[in-house]
Amino acid sequence: MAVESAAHESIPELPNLITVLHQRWPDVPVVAWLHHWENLVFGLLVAGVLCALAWRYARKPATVPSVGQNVFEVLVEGVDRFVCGIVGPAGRRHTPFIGTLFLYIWLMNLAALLPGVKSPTSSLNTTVSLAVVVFGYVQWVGIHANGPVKYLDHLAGSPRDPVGWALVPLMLPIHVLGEFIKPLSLSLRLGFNVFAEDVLLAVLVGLGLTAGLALHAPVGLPLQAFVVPLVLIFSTVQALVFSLLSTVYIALMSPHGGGEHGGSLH
Amino acid sequence: MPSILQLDLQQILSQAISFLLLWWAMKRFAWRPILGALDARRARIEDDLRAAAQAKADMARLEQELAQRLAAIDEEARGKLQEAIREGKQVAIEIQEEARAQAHAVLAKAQETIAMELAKAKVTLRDELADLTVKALERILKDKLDLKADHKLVGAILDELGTSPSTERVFSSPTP
Repeated sequence: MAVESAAHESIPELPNLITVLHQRWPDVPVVAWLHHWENLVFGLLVAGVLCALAWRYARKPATVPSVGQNVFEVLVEGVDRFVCGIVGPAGRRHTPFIGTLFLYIWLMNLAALLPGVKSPTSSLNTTVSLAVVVFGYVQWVGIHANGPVKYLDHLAGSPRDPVGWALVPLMLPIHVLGEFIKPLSLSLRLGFNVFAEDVLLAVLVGLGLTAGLALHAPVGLPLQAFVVPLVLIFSTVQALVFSLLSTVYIALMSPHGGGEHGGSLH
Repeated sequence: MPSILQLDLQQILSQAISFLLLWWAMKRFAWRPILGALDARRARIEDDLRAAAQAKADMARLEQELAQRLAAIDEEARGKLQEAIREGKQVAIEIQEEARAQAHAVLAKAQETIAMELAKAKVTLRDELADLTVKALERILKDKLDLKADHKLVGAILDELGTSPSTERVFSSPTP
């Protein structure tokens, strides 16, 4: 227990509004509840910002677009081309899912750059929840596009002879596990990368404070500013990787040739 | 255990639900409207481009038709000009012929008038000669002159006759 606590305490973490509140009033139930659900709270905050922007700029597109609508159009068209480029013409119906996934992860990754805000994606609870959603979505696409029989046939290892049927009890859990491990690996990659970024920022902020104290400066040195561009790039790359591989999983589950119920599973 | 490795099923499910809600909201308020607007704009641009190409083709066809019509009009004008020239020449020939015929008619009429006037003059002369002869005979008969006197008298009459204007005109006018 002591080792666990020491390990927990040894990982630097930037304080956010909720942790500050929790340190100030640890016994207030609302603050304790917020502290327990801080990843969800910041995730909902990002979702609220996205919804507000969508409501403001994209709900009723004008013939002559405003700047905000232009930004949305560029994003939407870019994601649509991205998805359709991988899945094919039938990928249009997956564009909202992948696009929302990308924007949500991207903004959550970047949230750590705002003072007092935490990246919800630095918690595996957030990224694993996204992996669960991607897993469910991909399986739904597989069932919807191929039919339940063909989908189950794929999960059972496509048995065509007695040996194949005998291996079904083994192949079925392996395939199901494999389907879940694919998005789970994405979530682990995303979570640990963003967590590492946050730790790096926290370490540099700590170093800056120490250096400021050593130099008798009124404030700490902003050493974290040097890694902000890296955080911007890595946050975008991680969101792109998660979205790209999710799209690839959808494409792998979709039938060949882009037609519904007409192809075979990978 | 570090906090990142602490998985909480409640948090996972609640965050999954929050993402599903976000997906629904974004699909309804962002993706569908924007994709619809982009598709509509793309279709409108394609229609406009198609219409522009059609208009361009129509314009080229109209230009070709116009050029053909202008060429036909030019050819028709040239033909009409040639025909007008031909008709003008024909009219000129006819006018010349008519003028020539009229001139011949006027000349013939003038000659006829001259002939009539000459005949009339001859008649007048003959009448005057007759009157003079009668007058001379009357004087001869009245005076009962001798031969010498008769010759002298006749000669005087003839001299008188020769000095008469009408007689001079008769004898001096050319024979038609």
